[in-house]
Amino acid sequence: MKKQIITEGKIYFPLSETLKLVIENIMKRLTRALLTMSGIVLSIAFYTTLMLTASALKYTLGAQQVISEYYWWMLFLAFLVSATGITNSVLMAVAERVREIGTLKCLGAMDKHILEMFILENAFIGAIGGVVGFIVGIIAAIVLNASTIGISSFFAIPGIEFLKALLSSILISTVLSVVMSSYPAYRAAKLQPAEALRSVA
Amino acid sequence: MGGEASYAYTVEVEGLKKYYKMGNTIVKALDGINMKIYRGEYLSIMGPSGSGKTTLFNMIGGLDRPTAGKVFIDEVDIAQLDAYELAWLRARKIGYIFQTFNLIPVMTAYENVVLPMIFAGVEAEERRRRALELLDRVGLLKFKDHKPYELSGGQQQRVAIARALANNPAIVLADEPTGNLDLETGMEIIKLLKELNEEREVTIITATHDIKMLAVSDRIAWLRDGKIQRIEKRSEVRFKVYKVEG
Ligand SMILES: Nc1ncnc2c1ncn2[C@@H]1O[C@H](COP(=O)(O)OP(=O)(O)OP(=O)(O)O)[C@@H](O)[C@H]1O
Ligand SMILES: [Mg+2]
Repeated sequence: MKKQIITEGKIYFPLSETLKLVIENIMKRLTRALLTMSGIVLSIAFYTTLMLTASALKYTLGAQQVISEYYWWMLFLAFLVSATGITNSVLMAVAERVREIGTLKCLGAMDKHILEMFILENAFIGAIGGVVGFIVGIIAAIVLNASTIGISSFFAIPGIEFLKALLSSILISTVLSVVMSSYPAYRAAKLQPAEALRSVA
Repeated sequence: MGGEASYAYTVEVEGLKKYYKMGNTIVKALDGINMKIYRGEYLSIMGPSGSGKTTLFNMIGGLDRPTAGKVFIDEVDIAQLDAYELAWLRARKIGYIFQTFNLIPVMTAYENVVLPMIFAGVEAEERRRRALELLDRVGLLKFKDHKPYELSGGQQQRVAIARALANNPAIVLADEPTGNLDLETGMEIIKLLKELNEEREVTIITATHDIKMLAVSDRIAWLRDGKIQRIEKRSEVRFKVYKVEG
């Protein structure tokens, strides 16, 4: 006897709009974004320093296996710490925005839109963190090695090696950021609107 | 009166219950609510703190699931909607207004009003036209590029009202819309809601303990301990008030 709802038209949240919101969110909540980013920047800087030092040694001395296992373990630890830092920081970002998520759901957002929003936001934060980490890494590599292998050895590194280091930095940081933020983003997406609106934060 | 008459109701609530388990005790936030809300009416749900107003608001708005009972919006049992249809209902059928305004903080007044129209897939040009018209209607055209934190509480609530109306909903649900406003600003918001109710023939349902709401409501539902004590027309309420005073 009771009828079915007639859902004429659709529910949209085009990527361009998500992007706009994501960029505004990053800019308006810069402290939070920078906090999430800081771990990424440090680990990518470390990574870049190791890579470039290895390249410098390779192209000036013809050395092959120049980075000891010890450094690889250090690098692994750095990524581990930054990875858990990302999850923690995004969990906090979600907690701060619980009510906003509830409101978005009232306006018609579906779970996947919220998920998309948080994943995209952290992909950006990761990518930017990768670039910044790369720059910091170059500076660190030059400063740390200036007295030993000398600055000039870095000029011996072909451009393609820099490019490789840059692209891999961005790739690693973006993937790390997306993977580690997916659990908090999923939690955000699954929030029940009534519960979310009760939040006092 | 047959099927025809049922079209007069935009919301029907049948045997609605919502229980919360708190350790060993059960809190009966809603305990068997039955009500029918007419299309285009201004209904106030009055009740003390903890009486279940927000819980009822959430149930009618499709924001939470009841323990038992049903809510029909335009004859559709909303418990039967899938996630997509529910989002559709929230985007297009219902506009929400909150005590705490709940504007998106990173967006301007204009962008806040546009947002629900993006979800509903309204064309960009039409979005612009409607958002400007609504902001003008609530008297905030001058403030369209202001962020929420640059606006007073009353102004934020006006933006929230414009946003709630953006997709021309059949129903506007307002949970204590004047709860965070001073007397005069609250009065202005109530007046605005009443005007929009008449102009647009939109059904307005407010949960409130603001006595000022009585003056504009077509009917008042008195809620206590999760039960409707009585539903009165405004004229009946006035009558009693006069009698008490006289
Ligand atoms: N998520 C929840 N978990 C447990 N109890 C809840 C929850 N939500 C509401 N309640 C309880 O249900 C009852 C009704 O709460 P509700 O928020 O609907 O009241 P209200 O009339 O809106 O009050 P107020 O005027 O203070 O906003 C209260 O006793 C409250 O503690
Ligand atoms: Mg309440």
